[in-house]
Amino acid sequence: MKFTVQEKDGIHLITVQLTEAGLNHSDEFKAFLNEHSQNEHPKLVINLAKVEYMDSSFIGALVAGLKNVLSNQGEMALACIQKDVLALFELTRLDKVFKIYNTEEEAINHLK
Amino acid sequence: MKKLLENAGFSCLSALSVDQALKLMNEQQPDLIISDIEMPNKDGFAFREILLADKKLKDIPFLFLTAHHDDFFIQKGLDLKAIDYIAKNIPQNQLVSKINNILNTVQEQKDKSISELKTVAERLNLKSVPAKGLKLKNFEVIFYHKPYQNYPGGDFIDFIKIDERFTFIVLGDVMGKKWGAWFFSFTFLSYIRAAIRLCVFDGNLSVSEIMQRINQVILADDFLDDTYATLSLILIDDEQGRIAYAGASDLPLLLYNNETRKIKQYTSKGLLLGFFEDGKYTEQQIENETKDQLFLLSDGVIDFEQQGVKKTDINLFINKLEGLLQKNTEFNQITSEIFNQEKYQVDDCSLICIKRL
Repeated sequence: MKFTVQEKDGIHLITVQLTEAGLNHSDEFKAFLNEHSQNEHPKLVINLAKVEYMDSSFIGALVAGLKNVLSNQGEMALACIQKDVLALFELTRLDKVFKIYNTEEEAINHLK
Repeated sequence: MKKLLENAGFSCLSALSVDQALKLMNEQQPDLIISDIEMPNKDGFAFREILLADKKLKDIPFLFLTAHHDDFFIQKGLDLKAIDYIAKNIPQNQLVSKINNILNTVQEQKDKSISELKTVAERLNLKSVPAKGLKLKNFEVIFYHKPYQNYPGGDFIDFIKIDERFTFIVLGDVMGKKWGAWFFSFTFLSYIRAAIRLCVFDGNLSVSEIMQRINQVILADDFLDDTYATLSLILIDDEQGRIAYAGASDLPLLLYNNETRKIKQYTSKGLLLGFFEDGKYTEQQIENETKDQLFLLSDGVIDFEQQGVKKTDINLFINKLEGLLQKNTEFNQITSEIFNQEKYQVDDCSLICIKRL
């Protein structure tokens, strides 16, 4: 599985099981995020612990997912981002677009 | 066989079962699949059927390599749209030649399709990159642009000369790669050109305000829903020798100071185009002197693949660039030194250099 999901206290915990998150998986990931944010006030935590490299296609899918969640009055948070990926987010101010947490627990506590 | 193919210059992934092969292809899609028929749990025919049912994997050229010589098996393999059915005792050089021929034919077909589409785009005057650089009185603008795998992509560049004094330099990147991103790059570019012209007509030369106007029109266009772009916007005042800059989730601008022989980074605060109503765009003046060089870059410049691992490393790029500039290396030489075979390109790659004369 490229992406897995668990539900806990009304929060969807999505784990990206890829080390390289790029063009080949971005459309599928976008559809996956949309599928799990159809309800009213969706709450999503995306665990990116395994992702060592992320390209702009996959970032685009994350941004589209966030926009969709916000349009349904929901919340989305990213957790466990690896150092290199986080550096890219900071470099391009995407850390100001997403809520980012060091651990899955921190992200869940914030969305509860 | 893996060793034979690697000795022939191919990079190979091998799997002992269909499930293992599918798992590998989840991460990385090969250019060609060579499969045995007899395998544990699922056989080669079942493997081929799974691939044909997957729209992302069905078009990867597929070869059966097997000890079976029965006509029934051969026909079954060919009916499953395998390109060929090869006997295991095929001489090694013939196998390598066959693989080379298949990959070359696939590549030629791809190149032909791209070339036809490029011709159509050119006839429609759809250009996302200028034909050449720009020479002003006090500045020279040169650039390097290489699309990913030679497919037109999401990077776009434009030089908009308002009059003898003012010129805008645009470097944008639609998130994504290949055709999808390329298609949207024209819409972004049209809005950017229109917003710049309209603001200039109104006497507004503030790059941050122009950026906000661009963001507003993009946000209002339903056609661009779910499509986002980064942008570096520069205004050159050729008379005063001034450079103004605003950015939207772009990479930092790099200024090489010819006197200190060091690179300084200029980071903008602006956010991605098309997401927030207020993109928080700010304007910075880039102080520059004769022989200083300012670089604008897309993310493909700092992304690369080395020994099968993809990485993003801006500091590596800055260090290399600084070293080359300290040796007074010319732009063409810089690009050929940095973007070479050792570092496999993984995205569209655009680099603009603005030289103060």
